[in-house]
Amino acid sequence: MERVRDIGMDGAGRPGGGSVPSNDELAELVRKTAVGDLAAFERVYRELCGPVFGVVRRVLLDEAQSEEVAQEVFLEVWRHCSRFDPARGSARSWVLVIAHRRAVDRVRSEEAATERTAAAGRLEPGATPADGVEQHVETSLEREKVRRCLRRLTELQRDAVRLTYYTGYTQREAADLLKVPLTTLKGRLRDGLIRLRDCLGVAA
Amino acid sequence: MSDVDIHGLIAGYAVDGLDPQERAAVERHLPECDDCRRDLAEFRETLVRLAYAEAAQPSEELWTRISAQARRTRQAPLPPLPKADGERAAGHGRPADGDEGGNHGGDGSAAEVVRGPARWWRRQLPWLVAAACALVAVSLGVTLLSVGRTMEESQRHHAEVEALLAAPDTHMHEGPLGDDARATAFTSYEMDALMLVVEGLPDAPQGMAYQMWYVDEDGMRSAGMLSLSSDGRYAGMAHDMGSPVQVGVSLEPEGGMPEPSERPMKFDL
Repeated sequence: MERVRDIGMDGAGRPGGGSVPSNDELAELVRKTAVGDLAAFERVYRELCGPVFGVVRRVLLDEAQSEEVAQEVFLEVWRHCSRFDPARGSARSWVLVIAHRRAVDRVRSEEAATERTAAAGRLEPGATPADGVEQHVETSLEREKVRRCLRRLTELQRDAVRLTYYTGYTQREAADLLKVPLTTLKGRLRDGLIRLRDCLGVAA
Repeated sequence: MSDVDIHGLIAGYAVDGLDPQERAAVERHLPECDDCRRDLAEFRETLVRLAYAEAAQPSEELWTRISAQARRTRQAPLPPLPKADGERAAGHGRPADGDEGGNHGGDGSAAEVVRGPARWWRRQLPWLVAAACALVAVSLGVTLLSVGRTMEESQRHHAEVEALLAAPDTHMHEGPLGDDARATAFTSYEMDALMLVVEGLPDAPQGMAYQMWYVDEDGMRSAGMLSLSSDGRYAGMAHDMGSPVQVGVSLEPEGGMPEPSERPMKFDL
């Protein structure tokens, strides 16, 4: 990613406007994709391949598998974009929900079971979500913002978010790993997301 | 599980961290819980930010593979068209294959249909317009492509369809056509155009095709041919509509006839 992104807002306030589509523009591109417009689909892909691939790789920790899954994600977008409903959320959210779910499904499938042990190692204190992904990516303002907000969570909140969202564990598994009661984990995860939401200034 | 418990699961749902039973409970609960849907939407937008912070460039070949595969991959059928009586089924009759691909899983009650004399479907359900538009555009597009026309041409059709659906006076009509088929028509006097989608017509025999007719006081005049889409619907768009009272459909030799050679099935506008 070579641009500074400010995806929280709908086009307004983005420096230079530039080629980063606003939420509305992206929704329109998805709508065009639904009628078989490959050019629109390519723009959707260009906008979202970075975060899709990035988040999938974050969960799977494997470059080649992550490309496979990213490919599945975008083909699912292609097949099902008629179901996207802008009234219910942004196109970015819609695509990234698919991406995360696919990644988690993959990591939970049997073939990936052996990786789970290794994944537990990702719980080093102080690790930030972007660790280990520098090679293709320039530092962006967005990344810094997210890091800063993650640092503001309590340790348990951060661990809860990290083990579930970034690693693909269920809440139950995460509670076991952290040796806390499930209800505690649920509460911390929720608190963590609320804090992140507020820190990042997200409004749905 | 109480509603309070379920509300506490929304964060877990957003990060895909629930057991299957919990997930199912959340998806059942979402349609009736405004707060839950709002929380979920906000959590998901938050996770969008986290994902962007992870962004990494995949290899350039990835797009090559995806686009090649997309060209060979049929897009899923669209949600059914709305019923003329304002039934809400269309919005929630999405294929029952779970949340995968469906927007925000289970929370299907966001759109409220307010009955109104005209164009309720457009005011209340913007996505429905997109769906209706896509349905017809796909029908036309697929057919055009299959006979070797260009993408540009099919895009021009999309544009026409979109213009018709966006016209201020567009009306939707729906009803039976003949014994087994159901027709949905969009008409605009302003655009002087009509778009017809028919479901349930038997396949036209070899060398034959369905032709549309405008039926008005002066009799019947051709409104062009219907094209078969890959999902088995017939669709067509016609200009020079005038003020027909009905639209007819008859089976004619391919290429069409100046007058119907059989009594067309008719559909009131």
